[in-house]
Amino acid sequence: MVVKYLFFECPGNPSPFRGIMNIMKNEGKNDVSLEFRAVTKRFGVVSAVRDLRLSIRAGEIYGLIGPNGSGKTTTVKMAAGLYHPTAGSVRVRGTDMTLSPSKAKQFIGYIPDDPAAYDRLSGREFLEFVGEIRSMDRRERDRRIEALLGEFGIADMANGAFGTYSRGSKQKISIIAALLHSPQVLLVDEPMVGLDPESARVTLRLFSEFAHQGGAILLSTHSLPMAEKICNRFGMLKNGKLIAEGTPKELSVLVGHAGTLEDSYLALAGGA
Amino acid sequence: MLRLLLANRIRATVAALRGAGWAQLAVVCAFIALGAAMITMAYLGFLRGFGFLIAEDQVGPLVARYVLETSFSIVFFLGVASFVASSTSFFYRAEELNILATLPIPPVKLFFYRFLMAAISAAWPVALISVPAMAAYAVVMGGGFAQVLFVALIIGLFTAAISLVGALLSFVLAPFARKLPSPALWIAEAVVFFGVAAIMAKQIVPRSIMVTFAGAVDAPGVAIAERRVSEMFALMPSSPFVRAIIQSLTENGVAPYLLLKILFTLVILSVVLMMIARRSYLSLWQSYGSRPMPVLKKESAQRKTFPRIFKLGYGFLLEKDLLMLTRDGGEMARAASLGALLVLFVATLRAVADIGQLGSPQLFTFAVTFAFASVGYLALTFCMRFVFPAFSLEGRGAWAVLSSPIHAHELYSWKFFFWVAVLELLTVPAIFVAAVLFSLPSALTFLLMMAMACVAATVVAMTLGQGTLFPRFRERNPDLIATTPAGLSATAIGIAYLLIIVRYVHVAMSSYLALGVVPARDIFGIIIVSFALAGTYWTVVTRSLDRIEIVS
Repeated sequence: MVVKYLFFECPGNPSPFRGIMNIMKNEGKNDVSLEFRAVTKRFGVVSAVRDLRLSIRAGEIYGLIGPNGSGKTTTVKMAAGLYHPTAGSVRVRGTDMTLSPSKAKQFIGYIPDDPAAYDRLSGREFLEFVGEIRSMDRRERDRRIEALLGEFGIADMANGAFGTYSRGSKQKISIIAALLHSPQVLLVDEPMVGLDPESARVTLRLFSEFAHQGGAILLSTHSLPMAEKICNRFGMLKNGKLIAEGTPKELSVLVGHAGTLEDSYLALAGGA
Repeated sequence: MLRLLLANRIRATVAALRGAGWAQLAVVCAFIALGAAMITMAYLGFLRGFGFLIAEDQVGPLVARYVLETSFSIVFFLGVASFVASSTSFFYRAEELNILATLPIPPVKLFFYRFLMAAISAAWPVALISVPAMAAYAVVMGGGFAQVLFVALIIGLFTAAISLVGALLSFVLAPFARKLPSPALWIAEAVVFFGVAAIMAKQIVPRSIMVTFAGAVDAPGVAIAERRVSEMFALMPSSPFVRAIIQSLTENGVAPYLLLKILFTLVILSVVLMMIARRSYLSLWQSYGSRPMPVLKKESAQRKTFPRIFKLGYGFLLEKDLLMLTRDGGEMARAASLGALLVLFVATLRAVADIGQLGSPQLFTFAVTFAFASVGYLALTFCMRFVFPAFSLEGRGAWAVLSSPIHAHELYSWKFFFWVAVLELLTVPAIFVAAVLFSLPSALTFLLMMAMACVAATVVAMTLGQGTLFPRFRERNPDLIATTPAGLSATAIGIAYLLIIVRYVHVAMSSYLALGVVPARDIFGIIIVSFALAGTYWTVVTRSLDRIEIVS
């Protein structure tokens, strides 16, 4: 119900996710929201990502899985414009992230693997700052901040200095920061680390609602049971290569035996 | 157990030095060389002064005693202040305590281990002032081997006394300090420091002391002066140490009575300290760890949302930096100390200006150029500490801005204009005051102000540019960011640039004093060199910002 209020029942501004709703209305749910076109990323002689080709459609939650060092975080950071591809291109809603970064970044919300921010700002000030860099209307910004802080039950502590927060509280603030401006594409790197079960449930609900409204999510994670609950499709990265892609069922067919996502993962990680 | 902890600390230090890059090692070597140079200079200064004073039959030895008493009082005060100021981090906030406190180490031993660390850290004024002063005095007085050993023992006991008093004071203050937020604590410490310093200065350097010494031309006069000096330092904790050393060197003995008195006092202080440590140390450490989360501002209907001041355009980027800076007590204290240096510089300029005006045109030109160079160097130091790390200090939170539609250019430009404004406001008025004190004609005043305005903007462009070209987003300590190879090369480039500008100023001043005009060539030279350096950095950095990555 709260999510419904957040997204639809705001008098004067019916939907903070109006961008997403417009997409749904005008362009339909099957549009590609995020696309990697033959993307390679090298750090010196090390290839972190190699010839990555994948696309995520509006309304889809795409789980990026793989062992440590497989290139998941690098992939998410390239989509966020924090890394630049050595070759190939990343396109967000059809806009090239390298050629038109400012335009492409308007569409995205990013939840980093390390939810650090400015230690001497309060959580609320940080969110207000994020609203400013996203050019949000201030009244709308403040309304969204209070609503999302209330969702996670951290409105009372949001005036404390960010540097004094626990890992979980920092994670909640960074999730709110990513959702604040109603992005169209959400880039998420290990969202559940440090979250208590209640907040994890809230987060999953927000993600599901986001996708339901036409948003696309690229979710990098090691938490396979959680990912299995909400992701429509998965891509398995190993040594920077996308070695398998599909629904959990398709992946289990690919590895040749029925089982959980974890079974498929272990088979792919060991055998590929 | 204590030996193990100390050995482990030494091993960690050696390992850190082995793992350090050349830039860090260069900085360590530079600091060691600087310390050695300062000790040597202090020794030579004291040697010359004491040599001159002791040669005086009447009042000389008394003035020497006064100098020793004064310097030891200052050292004692600085040492205790330094110990108390650093005690919070040494005793309660050190990260290794989180591990050590879980091990079966008795609280007293754990405290003693941290006490030794703090004592070594607070011994710098002893090393810089007391040791060279006493060494010079012993040489002048022709002390034998036994006396030198005795002096060394007394210096060691003096260092211990500083640390014991510092530790006791820090225990007394800890319950109050714990409750204060960092900026308030820094301000309170600064107020107490300057208050005590002012009282001390009034007590040990009264204006009338020179009259007293001037009147000591015969035996009764010397006796009066001696009594005056004894009265002045009677309550100073450092006085017994000075008297023990003087007695030992003048009477070729080892001053057993004073030594026993000192030892007795130190034993009493040690016992009291250990008793307090046994009872309170761990509970105090725990209470520091369980400090309530500091709330920056209470929620209320009147709470002003961010941004509060700079609401237009990208002003919020500036406001964010301002908030971060003003809420960091340590950074504000460092900025204030550099500001205090600037004020001190202007205050001493009056004397320099008098000397300069009395001397030859060459001396006058040198004095003015030196004043200009000093302000320029201060600007460079300020920039290396605050401007160079500014982009890196966006830190692990840089993702918020760099994943947003705001281009990194905006972030960079706002930092640039902010720091240029700060530096211009600090340096141009300072150089204007210098010009007034030197009674410079308007043409030269304009030249100096124009040159300083160029220096301020260029030094900001260079240091911010260099820091942005080689960012270290993972590093939180600005001191460590500034001592990377990129930081050291920025310092070298800054000094080279300053030397060129100072040369132009010197030549322009000489020409003006000889011919009555400031050559346009020098004015253009200053502008062109400044624009070339600042423009190069601006161009290179703005291009690099298109490809900037937050690489961990």
